[in-house]
Amino acid sequence: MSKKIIFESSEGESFEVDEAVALECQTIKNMIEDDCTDGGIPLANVNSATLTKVIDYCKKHVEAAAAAEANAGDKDIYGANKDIELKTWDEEFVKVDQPLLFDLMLAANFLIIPGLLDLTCKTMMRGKTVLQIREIFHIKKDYTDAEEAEVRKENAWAFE
Amino acid sequence: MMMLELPKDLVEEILSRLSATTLKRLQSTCKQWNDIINDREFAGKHFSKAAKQHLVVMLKNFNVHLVSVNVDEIHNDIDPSIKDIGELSLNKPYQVYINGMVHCNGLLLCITKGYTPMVWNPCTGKINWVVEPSRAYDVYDKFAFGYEYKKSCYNFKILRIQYVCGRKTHTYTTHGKEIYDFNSSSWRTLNVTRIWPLISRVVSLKGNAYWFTYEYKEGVRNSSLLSFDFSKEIFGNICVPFQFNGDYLVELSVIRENKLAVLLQRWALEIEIWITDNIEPNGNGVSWNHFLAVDLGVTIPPFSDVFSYAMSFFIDEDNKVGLIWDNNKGVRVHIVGEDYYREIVVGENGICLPLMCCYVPSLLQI
Repeated sequence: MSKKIIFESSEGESFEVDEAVALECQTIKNMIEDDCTDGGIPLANVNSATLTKVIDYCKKHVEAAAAAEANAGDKDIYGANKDIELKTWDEEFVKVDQPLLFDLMLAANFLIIPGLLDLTCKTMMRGKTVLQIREIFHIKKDYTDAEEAEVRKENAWAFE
Repeated sequence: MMMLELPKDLVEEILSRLSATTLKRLQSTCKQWNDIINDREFAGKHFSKAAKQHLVVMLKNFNVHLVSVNVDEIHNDIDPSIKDIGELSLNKPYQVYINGMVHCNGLLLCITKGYTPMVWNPCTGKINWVVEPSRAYDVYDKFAFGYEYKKSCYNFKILRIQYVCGRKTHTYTTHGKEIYDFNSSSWRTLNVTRIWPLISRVVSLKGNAYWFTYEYKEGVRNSSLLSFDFSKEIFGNICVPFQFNGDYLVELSVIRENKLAVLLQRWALEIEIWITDNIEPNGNGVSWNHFLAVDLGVTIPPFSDVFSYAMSFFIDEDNKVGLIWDNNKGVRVHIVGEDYYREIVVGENGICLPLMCCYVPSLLQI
């Protein structure tokens, strides 16, 4: 029976996960190594909906890593397929609304899950215009129109 | 969870994952983002983290043009396409005439009018001219471009080899070797023994330079692959997987910033391409893989010209073809596979040199 770790979301809800799954988060890994996980880990800035998704992600990636190890002997095509399967899973995983995607990115940054941070950052920024990005990040335009036009002109990369 | 302002380090985390050309577009988001994208340290972090875009550039009308190359479906009988997309603008009110270029980490060492080198980052638009050396530039000068990687910084350098050409004998001898260091913005002389003339382009891979050269030993012309290590500032010899005499045509190409490819054309129309992904400037432990061997004279009867010394090439590993740019009849790209051959004319109008190279946009600054 593997050791369990308990997360507590910002709403106070408890989530029990296998230690192996929790170890996917570098922040938690450090806490486990320092032996300060007894009585649960409160995550005051991660809500339940986000935490559920984060745990799904970590579980899937632990399983995929275990499967890859088990099949290490006969890698060839099967190994490559596995990789594609995980990629497809990742793509489906981030098909969520913008606020949840944003929260997932913040959680990945806070918990230090490099794979999830990479996935959410790229997904969030893909194909977005400057206006959309200002909206997502709640960025106030601090250029005057003339300044903005100048920056755009200077940085025009003609071919994208 | 709504946050009004993201911490700067998280913004950097996000931006460092996006391509250099996407970041150019996002500079107008706000002043903070603009500052981050223009920051030297961020550029280094971005270079090691972001996914690379592998583009192709060529010279046309003394400008650098971006080219789209698509050979993905050629084995399903769909024609390859190679198109000139347009000029990468220097954003200068005056014209800079570019005659040659060497790519390294998103920077192009360009040889301009008057044989003067400059370093240009087409993505950021930044240009670095080089301080005049004590001996004026000359048509026979050859340049190599690379860097020394120290304390997570790229210290870019230029190697200049000066040749003189004997009027009667038409033979080249070296006159001097000097190195330009962008850190100190100065030239200094390199004390090394004779460097023989070049018989290929100079390419830059992982900060070091490679080119083919020949020398006469007991009256016999021998060719060899030479390297220059920009960290130690020493020359080296690299083993090649074939025997060849000085009359064969050889050319080098850097593939996806991690492989070196050699094209060899023997007598008649036999072409061989070899690649390696573990080359070191000291030449230790290099192993070559055979990529392609074609006899154009057998497989393609109408093909009658051998390639010229001005040609350049690259390869597409997935589709197992070599793409050879030459201007024996206008600039043509010859797409050559084991049982495949097509010719495409690019840049019909205008003055084109058959010089192309891979270009990987970055934000790196000198």
